[in-house]
Amino acid sequence: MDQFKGRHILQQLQKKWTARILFAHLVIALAFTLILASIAIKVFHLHWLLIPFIFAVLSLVLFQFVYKKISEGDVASFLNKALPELQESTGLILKPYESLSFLEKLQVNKIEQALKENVAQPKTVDRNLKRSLIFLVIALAACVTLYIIPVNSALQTSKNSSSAINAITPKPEIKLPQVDEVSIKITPPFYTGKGSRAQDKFNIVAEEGATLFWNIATTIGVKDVELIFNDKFVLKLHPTNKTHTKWSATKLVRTPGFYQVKIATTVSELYKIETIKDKPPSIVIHSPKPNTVIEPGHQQRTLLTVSIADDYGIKNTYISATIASGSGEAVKFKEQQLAFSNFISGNNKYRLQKQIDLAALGMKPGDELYFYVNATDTYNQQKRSDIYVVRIEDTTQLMSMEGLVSGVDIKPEFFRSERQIIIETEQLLRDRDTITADEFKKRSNDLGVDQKLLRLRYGKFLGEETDAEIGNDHDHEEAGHNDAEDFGNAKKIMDEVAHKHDNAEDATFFDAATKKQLKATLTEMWQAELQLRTIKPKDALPFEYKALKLLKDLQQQTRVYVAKTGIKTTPLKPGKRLTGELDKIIQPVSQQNFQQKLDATITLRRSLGVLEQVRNKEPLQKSSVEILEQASMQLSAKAAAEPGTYLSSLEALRRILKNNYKTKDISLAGSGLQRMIKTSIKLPQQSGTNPDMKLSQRYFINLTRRND
Amino acid sequence: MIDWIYIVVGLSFLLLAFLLFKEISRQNKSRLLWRILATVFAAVSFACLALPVRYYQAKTSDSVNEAILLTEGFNVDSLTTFLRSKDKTIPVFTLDEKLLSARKYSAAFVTDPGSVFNRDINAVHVFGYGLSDEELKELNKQTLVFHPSIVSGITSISWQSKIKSGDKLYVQGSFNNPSSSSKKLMLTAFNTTLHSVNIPANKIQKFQLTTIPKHAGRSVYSLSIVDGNDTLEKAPVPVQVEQGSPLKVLILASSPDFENKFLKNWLAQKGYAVVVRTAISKNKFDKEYLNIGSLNLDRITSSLLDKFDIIIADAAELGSMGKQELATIQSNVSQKSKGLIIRAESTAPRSAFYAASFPLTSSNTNQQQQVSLYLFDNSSKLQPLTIESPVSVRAQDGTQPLVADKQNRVFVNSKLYGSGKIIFTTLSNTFSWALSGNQNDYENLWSELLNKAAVKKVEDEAWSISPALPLINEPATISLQTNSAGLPQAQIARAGVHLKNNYHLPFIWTGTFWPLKEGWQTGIQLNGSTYYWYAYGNNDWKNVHAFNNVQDTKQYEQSTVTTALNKKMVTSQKAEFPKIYFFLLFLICCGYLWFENKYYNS
Repeated sequence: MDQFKGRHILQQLQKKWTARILFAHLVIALAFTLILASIAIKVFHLHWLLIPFIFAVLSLVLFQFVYKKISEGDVASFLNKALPELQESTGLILKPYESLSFLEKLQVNKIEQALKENVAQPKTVDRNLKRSLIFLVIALAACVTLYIIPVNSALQTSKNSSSAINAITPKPEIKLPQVDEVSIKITPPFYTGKGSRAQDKFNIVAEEGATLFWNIATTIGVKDVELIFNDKFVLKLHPTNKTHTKWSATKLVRTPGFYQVKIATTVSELYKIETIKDKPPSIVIHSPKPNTVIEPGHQQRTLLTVSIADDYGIKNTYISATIASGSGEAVKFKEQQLAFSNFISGNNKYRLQKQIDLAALGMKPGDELYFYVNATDTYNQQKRSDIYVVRIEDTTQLMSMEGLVSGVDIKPEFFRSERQIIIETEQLLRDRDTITADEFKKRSNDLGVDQKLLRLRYGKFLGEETDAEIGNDHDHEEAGHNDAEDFGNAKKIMDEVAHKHDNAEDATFFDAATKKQLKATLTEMWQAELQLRTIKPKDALPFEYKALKLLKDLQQQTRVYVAKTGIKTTPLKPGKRLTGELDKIIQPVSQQNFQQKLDATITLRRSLGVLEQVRNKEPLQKSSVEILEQASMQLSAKAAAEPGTYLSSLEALRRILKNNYKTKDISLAGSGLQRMIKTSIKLPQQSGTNPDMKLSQRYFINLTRRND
Repeated sequence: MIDWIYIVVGLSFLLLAFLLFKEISRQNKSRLLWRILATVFAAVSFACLALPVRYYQAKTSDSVNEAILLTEGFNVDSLTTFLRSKDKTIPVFTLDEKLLSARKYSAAFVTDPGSVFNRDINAVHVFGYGLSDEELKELNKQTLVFHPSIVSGITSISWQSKIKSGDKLYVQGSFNNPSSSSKKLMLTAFNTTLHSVNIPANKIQKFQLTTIPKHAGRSVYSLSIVDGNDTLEKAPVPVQVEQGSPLKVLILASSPDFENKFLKNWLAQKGYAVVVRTAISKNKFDKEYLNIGSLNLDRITSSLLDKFDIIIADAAELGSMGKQELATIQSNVSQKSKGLIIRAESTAPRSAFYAASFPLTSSNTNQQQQVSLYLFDNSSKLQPLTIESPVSVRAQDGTQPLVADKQNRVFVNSKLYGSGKIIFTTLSNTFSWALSGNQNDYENLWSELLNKAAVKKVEDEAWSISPALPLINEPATISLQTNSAGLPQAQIARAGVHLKNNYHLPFIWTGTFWPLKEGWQTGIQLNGSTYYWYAYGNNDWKNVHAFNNVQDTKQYEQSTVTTALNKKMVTSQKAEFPKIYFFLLFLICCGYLWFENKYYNS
């Protein structure tokens, strides 16, 4: 028991230390993971899911290569070294008690006592633990600093600086020194459903139709405060307290523009007012396709799927459907509105569906349905989609013999026509319930045979052979009777042995396009026959219709239009033409001097050239300054319409005109002016050559003289 | 020098004659021959003391005295390997004091490359981008071995510094991109990118950037090389846009049609002087004078044509014209350099003077065709034009097609005719562009035709600057071409430049100006108006200059006799005969004469 105790203590120590060392390793792994992960995420923008992966890998590496297992022997030898009381005999505990000599047993008992009393932790374990904890703290600190200091700040700044070349960066707005505080309340129009908001900046971005309410507090009492809109309209602010330090005014904004604050005589820089326009609703129709044809035999309905979206909300939406029936001059239109059943107004986005039953709308075969979707938003802006067409194929047209029968010598045909096959197929389908299954099968099969015969007949036009012949030797008819006269008739002998199925006449009878269509017809007939033979007459119908349609088209194509011949006129006598007396005819003379319209952009073009003079620090002439002033006026009008794009350019140009500018103002002003010039005029112009004291001319004269 | 030689030789002969006379006339005639010889030698050696006596020495020097001259952009690695391959130390020089990397090799600074050769050095290895043209001129055909560095970036560049308004600006050049990342070239004006191209990695590629300048007057665009988000280089592209003078146009029509009407209205509204004569009956004309006073149009005379730059006529009108009138037009085109635009829809009669140059082909189908035309000159595509049974011109030798379609059927052709130009067009419904609101294409086409037809006006004076990219603190050559007699003087800003007349071509005057200030330079013309040119900073277009230096130095290296330096270098050199030998000979001769006189003549 005692022996077990001693050993137990050793084992416990071993377990404890092992656990601590393992823990220390894990902490180190965690510290490394933190550092690596933060670098990976921050610098390389990798996913955070990488963290457990890194941790697992690092732990495995540490466990495999760094971690050393502590055995009981290690513990014992350590205790021997660390505790002199154990008298170098801890190893005895590990041996089986029975195998010990008497002295050893005594010694074991002695040490076990000592063991129970002092069990000190080895310093290495402690150190390991301490070191790894310190490491973790450092790693944490590193992580935090990594997150506080933006690692790619250098990258980002360079990005900004390079984009600054090409874009006008917004600059902080400058308030007048008298202005202490400003608060602008923007109340969007009611229909937007947005609440009002306040801002402490002069530059405004507001919804179209929003009400603006300025509250300006000045540092000292002033006489009056004004807002100047677009250099024209002046809005006076009224004081709200007696010391005249608080002023307010309100205005409804419909168009974008810019404004200035004027306090006493000082005028602020330009502030912009941008408006957010209410966009009309957008309508996207997902189904049906813009042009849909419902083939005979298909269901006469169509599913309309549409998605509608708007920035503030949809008030109403409907389908406007127009049915056109009849043909030629007898076309009749019927218009009606259909509503979406699941529409509830007020939302921003919808995905709506509507099953349009064409039969319920009163459409017959041959009729066409035109429809579009209309949507109205809360601002009463309407938008309609493109017009979509759904047509029901008319079979009666195909069936009519009109135009074909007349003038054609009708002979009894021993095979059924495609039209006949369709009629009989439909009859078969009608009779289905009244006849026996066998009869049904038989009739369907018979129809298939008829279809086959018809196919073979048309196939002949393409030079096809009857399928009885395929693969077999040709059963050539005996070429009449053999006459003695035919002896030596090479042609006859040839006929007997030659294989003459590509009759030249047959082969060249149709042009390529006709043959192609004929082939398509045959394919449809094949399909129809397949369905009929497999007792599916219903499925055969569409193919039969298709085949008939193609055949009809073929027949139409073969018709030729012959124009009337022209009338003959009496020949002209050229000798007598224009021999009349013309002396009384006055020659019209017109003279006109055009006021040369100056190209609207010429001032802008010239002003760009003047800006170059400014950049080159050349003294400006009076005319150049005038050009800049005119350009400034044009720019001001443009800035009122689009303050976001042109306002900064206008300010820069005004600073240049005041001779109080920085170098970048020139580019800023120029970019706005350049953007305003849209068109490029191209005019023929005379160019010049260098003078040469008529040397080349003399050369030319001598050259021509030599050639003569 | 030559004078000095004659003087010395003359004096020596006098001396010799005097001495000989003295010796011969001596009473004691013993050893006369020896004395004469000594006298002659003494006189000759005395003369040689005064004269430089040179001889050609075939120097088979085992030891080639080499030196290294470092110029900008030299490759440190190739220099190090070169130095390692030589067993002795080679002196290193540099022309650029600021070349920091040269300090590592303790390079001595020299002001001109010629001074390197003066130091008993017969082969100079030049590393880097080489020497400029000016510097190479100072070398006097000395041998040099060039180890060029590769110039990366924009190695050549060209653009039109002056263009007419509405014309396209083309910035063309080649770019060497040895790096592994692709570069972007951007043409910008006033912070707006007008055009950009990508240069793929590891490639030498030609590039072209185009834009239609929007300014009038002067402006400096810039071409920047961008790698990702970093701008590596930015160079100025100064462009001047000028307004050309309007043209005067005479339109002769056999019948009124829309084509002429639209053309007339367009030109007149733009302020051009246009006169239209439309035949309405036999010898009856409808005359229109737009932006011009009335003229007698009944007969086409030479004095009438003098008032116009371009004549637009249809083939039918030219055919129905009197022979004399036609001859007037013909001679005015060929002699007085007028432009003639002929509109024809069918083959002209054989007899017409232009018929041989412009044979026609009509397409077989009498159908309307959509023809996609493009302009040959700037290959700008026009919107498709619907033409009923199009007729095209078969291009002949000596003609220049102006407008063709996708199948390369030529619709407008041109030909030089004497000193003038004939343009032949089969297009007769270009007005349908203008009708359908496509004014741009309409103006594009007709501007092209009229510009081509218009003959260039000879100006009174023309100023030009070379080199193409003049640098500050470098000489720029200003040249003037003028018709006026008298001694012109150039003036740049306030500095006067004296001009030298060309020896062979008396209308060309050149002078040198050293621009000091970067940017636009204002020159004042003889007639008082100003012209502008641009002086570039030393850092602008650096690689272009470097590339030019490399080319120049390579050419120089090839033009001089290059012997492989690894072999023994055989050079024939002039060497001066040491004076001491003449002095000794003189002393010996004189000593003999003195000694003989002293001891044997008594």
